[in-house]
Amino acid sequence: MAEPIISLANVTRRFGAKTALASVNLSLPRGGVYGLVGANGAGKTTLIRHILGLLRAQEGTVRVFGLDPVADPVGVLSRIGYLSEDHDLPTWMRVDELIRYSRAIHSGWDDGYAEELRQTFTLDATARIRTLSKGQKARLGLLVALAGRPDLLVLDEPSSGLDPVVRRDILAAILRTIAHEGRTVLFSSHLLDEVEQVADHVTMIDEGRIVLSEPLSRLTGSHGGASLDEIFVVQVGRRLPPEA
Amino acid sequence: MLAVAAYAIALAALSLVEYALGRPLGEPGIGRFVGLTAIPLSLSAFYLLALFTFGFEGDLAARASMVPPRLFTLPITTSALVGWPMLYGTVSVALLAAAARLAPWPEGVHVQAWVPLFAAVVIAWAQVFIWTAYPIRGLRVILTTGWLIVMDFVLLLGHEFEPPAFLMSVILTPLLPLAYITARASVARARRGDVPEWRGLSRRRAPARSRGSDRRPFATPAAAQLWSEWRQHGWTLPVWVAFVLPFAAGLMFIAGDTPVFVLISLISMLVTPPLMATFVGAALGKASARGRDASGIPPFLATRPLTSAAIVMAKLRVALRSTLLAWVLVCVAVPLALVASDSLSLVVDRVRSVRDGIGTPRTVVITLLIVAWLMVSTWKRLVMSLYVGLSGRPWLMRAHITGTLALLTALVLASDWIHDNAGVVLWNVAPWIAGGMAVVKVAATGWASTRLERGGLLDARTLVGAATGWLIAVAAVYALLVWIAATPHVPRQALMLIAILIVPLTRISFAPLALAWDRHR
Repeated sequence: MAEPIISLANVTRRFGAKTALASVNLSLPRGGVYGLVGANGAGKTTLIRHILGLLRAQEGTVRVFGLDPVADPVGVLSRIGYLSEDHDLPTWMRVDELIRYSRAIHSGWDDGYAEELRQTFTLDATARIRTLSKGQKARLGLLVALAGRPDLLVLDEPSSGLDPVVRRDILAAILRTIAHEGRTVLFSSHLLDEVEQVADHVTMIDEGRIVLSEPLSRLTGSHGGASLDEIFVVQVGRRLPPEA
Repeated sequence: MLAVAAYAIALAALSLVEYALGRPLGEPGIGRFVGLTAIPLSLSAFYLLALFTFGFEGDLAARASMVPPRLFTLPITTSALVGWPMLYGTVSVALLAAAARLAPWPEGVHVQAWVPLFAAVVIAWAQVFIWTAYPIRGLRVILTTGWLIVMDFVLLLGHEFEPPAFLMSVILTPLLPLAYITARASVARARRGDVPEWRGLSRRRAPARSRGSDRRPFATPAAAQLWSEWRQHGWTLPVWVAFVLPFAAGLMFIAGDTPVFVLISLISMLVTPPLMATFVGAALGKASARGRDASGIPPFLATRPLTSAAIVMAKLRVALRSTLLAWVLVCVAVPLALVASDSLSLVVDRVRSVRDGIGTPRTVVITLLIVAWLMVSTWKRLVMSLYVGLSGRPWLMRAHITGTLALLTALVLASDWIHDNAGVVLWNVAPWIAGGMAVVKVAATGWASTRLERGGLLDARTLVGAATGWLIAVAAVYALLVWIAATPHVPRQALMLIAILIVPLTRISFAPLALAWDRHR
């Protein structure tokens, strides 16, 4: 059996008195789209930060591509494309400067693909990042994440606060990554309708615990074809709030 | 207000203790003045200045107003938005200046009655300069610094000529409402989102085609990170040095025929880079250039496939380039100033007298050594506190600043006593103290090296190379010290300890550990 691309074993994380992750076990094979769903504060971002090595597991182990992301950040991050929830980009750079910088940092950078994405997303190369709108920053962040041709694309609440057009771009990018290249995508969201559109596998997390982790088709089948929103209510006991 | 209150309480408590004892604490002298007055007063004033101008909140060099954008959305009038901070700021510094009258001052020096009003005017107009939006990046820094320097001169002239308090009140009082009116207009404009633009400059800097994509790609990830660090931090020190140098050279032009003033001006110019580096170094240690809240590495940088050591190395190289560029400015400015002020002959005569005393080779070497030491000192001041900023722990940064200031104050306070009572004892114990410090330094470096190697931050080959380079540097410094200063009164062992202590290693070693500590929480 092929080694999982992401493997978390008994990972626990506390912030003071609050337990953000409690004995989380998760193993995701290569290929496919993995949706990580849960309410705000459920532990999605904390889990993703462990995968990226931004948090060190207080208990348990984290392996990405078989490597410890804390011990070998370059080995792991060189194969990951990451879009953060707040689209954290260096605001002092221009778009073309960020592309030039990223090209040097990521060994697998595809210049042609980057330019194609820049034109598709209608990003002005000479624009300062601080002058971009939230949607434009999201697109630029997605460009940087995708143009490195990562083996694993990690998106943390990628469409949060964005208009439907930008959300469509993000979902299309996810599908293209998988359909044409057979790579792996992990994206977290509290927008269950979006997860239903693109995810092959769904992991539900609530109050730091994995509630379930199954292929979407099996999940909906075992719940009589119910929607993901209804399944979430059954499993967690409450409905996720709608996007503001 | 708490800082002002704490300072006043400390001064009052000290006065009470001295009254109870019936004698002053410590010997009256420059140490007592610097430790009890100059340092606390200066730091408190700068803190209040930064606090009430929102100087901690963002990028001082930015074009936009420094008033935090979140305040613009408050349901209050612009008059209140400007008025209350200005009122708090002016009252605070005025109280601080008034409290300074309680502090010990050298004989013949006293805080004149108009100084509190003067302090209020200084901060009010500093608020105006800092809250205004500008068409050019960095203009705020130049104007505010210029204002503070000019006011410093005014204060010195006021001390020298002791103008009547009534006259100063008549001159200063109208400046307060004028500052309020000006600040209100500037903040109102900023609240409307109106940031002025130098249109001609903007057109020149925004060509039709992208410049970035035409540029040669970076050869390595390290080159890309070096570029990023340079763009964020590299120009700060040279710009500050370029700004301060003319003021440092000023005395040369005012009193260029007086050797002592020429010497003071020359020394001021030479110490400008290391002095400015002390302030700039704090910014270099930040992983992000975004104001006070920017402790810690930003997620964007933390998720790039770069090692923590590579990120630190980029900062060290930027510090080196900044240092070299700043010293190019000094090397150009000093001869220019000497020639332009017609003071070159004074300096040449002084150098000749030294040469006649110790010979040409030693004169040349000592001169080069002094310049080299100042250059190295500049670089050291930029990088010695890197590990504090990169840790991303605000408590560590505050503890570092507080500890450093407390140690500095204690040393200055004790300096007069040491000089008068314990000089001989200290001279005999000094080698043991230096030896202890050297042992601590080597042990700490050894611990850091172990952690660097075990954590995978640096490989054994790199560590061995760094250790070898350090040993060679220590040997070279030791050889120079022996050639210059070895006498029966200064044993060679002491020179070896000095060489070990002055060649940097330990705190730089902690920088990648600190960054990794922050990057992987």
